[in-house]
Amino acid sequence: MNSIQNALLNKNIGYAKKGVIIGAIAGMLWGLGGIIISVAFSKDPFLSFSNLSLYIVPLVGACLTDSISGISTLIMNIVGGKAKEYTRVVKTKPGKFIIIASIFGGPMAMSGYYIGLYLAGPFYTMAITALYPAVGAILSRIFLKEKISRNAWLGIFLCIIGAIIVSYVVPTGTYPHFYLGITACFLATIGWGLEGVICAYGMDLVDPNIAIGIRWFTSFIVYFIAVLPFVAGIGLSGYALFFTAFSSSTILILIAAAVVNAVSYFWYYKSINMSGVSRALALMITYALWGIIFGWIITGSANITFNIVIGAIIIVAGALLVAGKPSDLIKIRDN
Amino acid sequence: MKTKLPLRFSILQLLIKESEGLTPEQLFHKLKDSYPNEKQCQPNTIDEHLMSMKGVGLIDVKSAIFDGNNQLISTYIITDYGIARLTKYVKLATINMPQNQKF
Repeated sequence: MNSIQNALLNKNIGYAKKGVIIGAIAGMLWGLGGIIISVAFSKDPFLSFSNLSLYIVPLVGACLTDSISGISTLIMNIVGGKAKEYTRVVKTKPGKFIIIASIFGGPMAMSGYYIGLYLAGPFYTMAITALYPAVGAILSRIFLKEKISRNAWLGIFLCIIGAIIVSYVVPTGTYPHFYLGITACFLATIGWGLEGVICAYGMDLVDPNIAIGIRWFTSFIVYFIAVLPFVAGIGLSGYALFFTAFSSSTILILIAAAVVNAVSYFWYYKSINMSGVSRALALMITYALWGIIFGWIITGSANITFNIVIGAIIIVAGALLVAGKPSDLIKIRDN
Repeated sequence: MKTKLPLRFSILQLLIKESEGLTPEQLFHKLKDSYPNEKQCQPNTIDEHLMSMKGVGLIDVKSAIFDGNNQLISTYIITDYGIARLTKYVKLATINMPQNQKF
């Protein structure tokens, strides 16, 4: 191999490695963001509104953080000289794919997840929704012809098993609408899987930095218009919490969480674009482990139990297999 | 008022027109007047877009050389898949008229 070919190969490998590394950092930051959000949810006004329904707090919280993440991303894009791309992109078909992906991965998946928690309990919800990297990988293989080696499949499988083990909770309680809850869990799983694949298809022609900006604003608008009226029966409680939270001091904690989430998803979308959907999704799910680590550091809320240690080892092994050989990532599809 | 295309669309448009391929620097010189005062339109940002589009098979590296500063300069060409994807969203007739785009 001559020096030019060598330099070209090194450049390509460096780019592929970067995609994997930022995907891993995105997973870590998503875990951190989740812990900061949980701190905000333990304070007023969220605490006092939590009696109204089980999902008013997380869904209004998601609406609030998505709006703040949207603004944070817009600021990043203004600094990067990309602000004008927003309107150009939403007028194109790939831009519309991003909007559809945002609805699947934002309000649809998140609502499904919290309804699942409410109707089917945390054990089944965690176990089913942890399957989303597999859904994304299968769909990306079928629709995007993404290259996924045997080791990468094994890595995806290990990341899922590890995430289930670290999040394991003993199934308790009775759930009269159990099967409806399970359906909602599958809706969430498919929503997150579809988000990755549809946005990857759109991002072939759209800058990932703009795609994620559109994602936040779309998600916020759909939450605000279509989800908030139903978070505690039909009514205005969702809006009451939204505006009360905005004018409370707790908003500062939510801003911190939303900025962390914004950076996380910024890199998650970039990683999807650089290293493929299957790898980015598997690296993202490592947040389950990071959430426990940050929970332990920040709030002291998690005990490092035997199943967490075993789950952590499995996740790390899975993530290493997913990362694989960077030279395999130079061309991520078979087209 | 005519709407400008997103930067990646314009890069692919230019690569369809220039069958011999273009380097990031050449693309920058051809695009800078269409995206005036936009910090995103820089050779290094364009190179990042090109690397990303190469990864998904829309474009490919035709050739590469070292310049006087020992920097690797790649010339990119659009693939058949890239042409097929772009022409799904941008009419072929408009591709030769960058200031009059429809999509």
